[in-house]
Amino acid sequence: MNFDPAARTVCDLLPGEWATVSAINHDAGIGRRLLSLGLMPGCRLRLLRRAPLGDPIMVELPGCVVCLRRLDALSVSVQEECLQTS
Amino acid sequence: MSANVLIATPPMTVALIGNPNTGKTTLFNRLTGTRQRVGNYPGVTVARKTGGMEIDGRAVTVIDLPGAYSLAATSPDERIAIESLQGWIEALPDVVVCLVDATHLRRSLFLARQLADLGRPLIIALNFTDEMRTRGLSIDADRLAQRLGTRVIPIAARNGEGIGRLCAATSETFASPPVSRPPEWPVSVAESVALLRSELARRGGATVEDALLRRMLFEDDHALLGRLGVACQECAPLLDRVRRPIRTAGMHPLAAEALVHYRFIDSVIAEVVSRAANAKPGRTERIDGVLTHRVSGLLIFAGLMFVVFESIYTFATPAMDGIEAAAALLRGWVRPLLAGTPMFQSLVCDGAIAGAGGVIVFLPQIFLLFFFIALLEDTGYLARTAFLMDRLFGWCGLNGKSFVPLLSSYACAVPGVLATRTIEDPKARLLTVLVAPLMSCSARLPVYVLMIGAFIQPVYGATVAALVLFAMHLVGLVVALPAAWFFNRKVLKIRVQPFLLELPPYRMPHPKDVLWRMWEGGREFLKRAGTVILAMSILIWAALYFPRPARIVDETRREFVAATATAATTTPGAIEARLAANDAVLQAALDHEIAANYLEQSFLGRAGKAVQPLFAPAGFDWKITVGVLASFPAREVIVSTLGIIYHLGEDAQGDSLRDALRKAKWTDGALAGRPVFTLATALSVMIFFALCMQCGSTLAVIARESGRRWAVFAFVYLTALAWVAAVLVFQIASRIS
Ligand SMILES: Nc1nc2c(ncn2[C@@H]2O[C@H](COP(=O)(O)OP(=O)(O)O)[C@@H](O)[C@H]2O)c(=O)[nH]1
Repeated sequence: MNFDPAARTVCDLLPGEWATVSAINHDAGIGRRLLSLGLMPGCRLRLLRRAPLGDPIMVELPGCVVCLRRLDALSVSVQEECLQTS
Repeated sequence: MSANVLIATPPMTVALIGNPNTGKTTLFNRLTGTRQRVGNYPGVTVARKTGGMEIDGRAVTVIDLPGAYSLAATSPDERIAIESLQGWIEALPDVVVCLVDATHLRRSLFLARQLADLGRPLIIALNFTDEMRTRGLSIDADRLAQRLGTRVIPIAARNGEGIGRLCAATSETFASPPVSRPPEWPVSVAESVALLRSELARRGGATVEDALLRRMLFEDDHALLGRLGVACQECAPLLDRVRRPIRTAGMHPLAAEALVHYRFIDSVIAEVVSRAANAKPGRTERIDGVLTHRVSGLLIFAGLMFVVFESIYTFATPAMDGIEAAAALLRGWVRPLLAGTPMFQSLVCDGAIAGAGGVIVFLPQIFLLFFFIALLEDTGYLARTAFLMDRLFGWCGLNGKSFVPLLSSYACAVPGVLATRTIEDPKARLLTVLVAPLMSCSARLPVYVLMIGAFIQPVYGATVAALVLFAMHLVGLVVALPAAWFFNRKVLKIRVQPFLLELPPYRMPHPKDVLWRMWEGGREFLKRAGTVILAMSILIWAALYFPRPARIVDETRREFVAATATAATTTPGAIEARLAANDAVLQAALDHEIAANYLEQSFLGRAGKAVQPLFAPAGFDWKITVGVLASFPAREVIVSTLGIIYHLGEDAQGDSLRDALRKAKWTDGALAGRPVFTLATALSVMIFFALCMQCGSTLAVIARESGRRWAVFAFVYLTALAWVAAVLVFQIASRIS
């Protein structure tokens, strides 16, 4: 469950795509803040959209919507869900 | 009230805490009405609101703690929250009321669990129950109370539902605090706590509660350890040692707390929340589809900002004109009353009334500004502007949240600097404070209007004039971003903070709350700016008034009579006779001459002459220099000062000043006889005023918010920047034309 920097991250999702968090880099400041919002491995999230200039991104977490910079979003790696869309 | 009544009902202190946007401000206003005080926490610049209320005849002090997601402090606001709850900053609160958003129960309960762990008497106020119902959610409050081991009171702060019950519960909790049921911690955490306790005991520190030891374990913040006397460089290795059991159990120490709490919270939520089958999908998501869309979103954003901007300038104008007229009337009315004591008359009319008028005149704009900000914030749109703008500001160290302070600064930098409190990242916050004074505030407008009206409109027409005016408003922003980038790279050495912004759901704003915020904003501005500007205006008045040697009157009169006689080809005697017969025109001309000569001889006038060589490369003569010096405390005085210097009397500011500027000639030096004001001079004066830090209240506010050092820094860099830019503009423009 260690954080693998090469894994797929939230940034790689397509707008509207759901995914499951596989690991969070707790050593980055953002990891801790996301954790206090309740985002942890196993949670589902969805990339809602990117800002007009491509950065930051808007992500739906369990119970709230947040805006993250791509650089920070690299700390959250995900596993895509094969069959689910919504 | 007699003494035994006081003993029967001792006062009580209640602290309100909750995530941002859980309705804390709304509840606080409902509870305390107008009996509020806004101050600062000692030593830090986080707004501190307290208010009074009464429950069953008991005096209750309500403390509004800053919004926080977690007790693990990532912003100054959050640090205050934890330190207050420990009783380090102020008296330990008797009861803690934690606001929980019923529509975001999962996330809100995290803070509630941290508070439960601290073991203070706690009540959960379950807010937004009205919105919860319309969304088809329901929460079993009794079951929730059972699981959490605290009272849970459903409320709807906005329409006042459940507030009575909340007060009653607060009283009961105060009288008999329930036995708290702290979270159950895994064995590994308990082991780490024990290790930490023995380490601290070995150092001979004071004994500390377990809850506090856990806070140290779960956070990277060494401030708590520092408070117990652990040296800075020892903290990291010490924490590393005592966290070993947690790590061995397979948890990241900084994640352990969230894992434990959320496991519990998820089990509670499964039990108490039920969702109606027909629950509506998000309205917010649909609105966001339009408002943050890459095309329509940007268009709507630009349109909205245009409307806000335009309104701040146009809607406020009648009120501002009215205030100016009222100040002039008041002066005209007071002046004869104090005719017996000329110095006091001048102090009151030219110092105090003019100074106070100069502050109050901005009030309409400030009210409008806060009205719009409250409106945009309460609807949830403001967070979206941060989302849209982050990229534009991010590259230079600012962030999306810098947008609102910078926008506010276009009306006035004082509320702009105050608005930077919402920026968590200390670096982005400081950078925003440093560049906020560059935004073209409305006090610069009179200078632009004067210069453009005198030198650009007559020559190049109205279109070019409008374009120049627009460009002047853009200059500050264009300079601000590279300046921020430079400070970010070269001056500040602070770690970059992650930028995490919650986007709240769109909501209908409540008119009462919007108006209240508008009122609060205006009041704060008056208090902050009012005192400083008033004091400064009186100082400037004194520098322009004294030393006032009596001989000036006679000398001026003699010269005036001689010069007028020559001009009108009569004898001095005839002129004297007309003056003696109270010839109004002649007398007024003489009075202006005397006023101008007094000014030239005043401390500031002499200073202007002495400093003028410094401003010569920018094309300023000594009169402009005096105007520039006089406007350091408040730039808006430039126009009236120029009015006095150009012998016009201070109330003639419009066309006549424009003409006087056009006619002004260099009196000595190589340029003698040539006009002082050319296009190049006009541009250089405007650039100077656009960039220079000529505002005492802004400096005072920066000193309070970021420290005196940064206020000095801002003053020096802005003044230097303005000088360099003015010289460049003047030199280039005068070569070209
Ligand atoms: N529907 C509803 N809205 C509320 C309630 N309480 C607050 N609000 C709204 O929620 C928004 C945020 O409230 P505010 O008091 O500013 O939150 P704070 O950030 O915690 O101080 C405002 O638009 C309020 O009008 C409530 O009980 N019901």
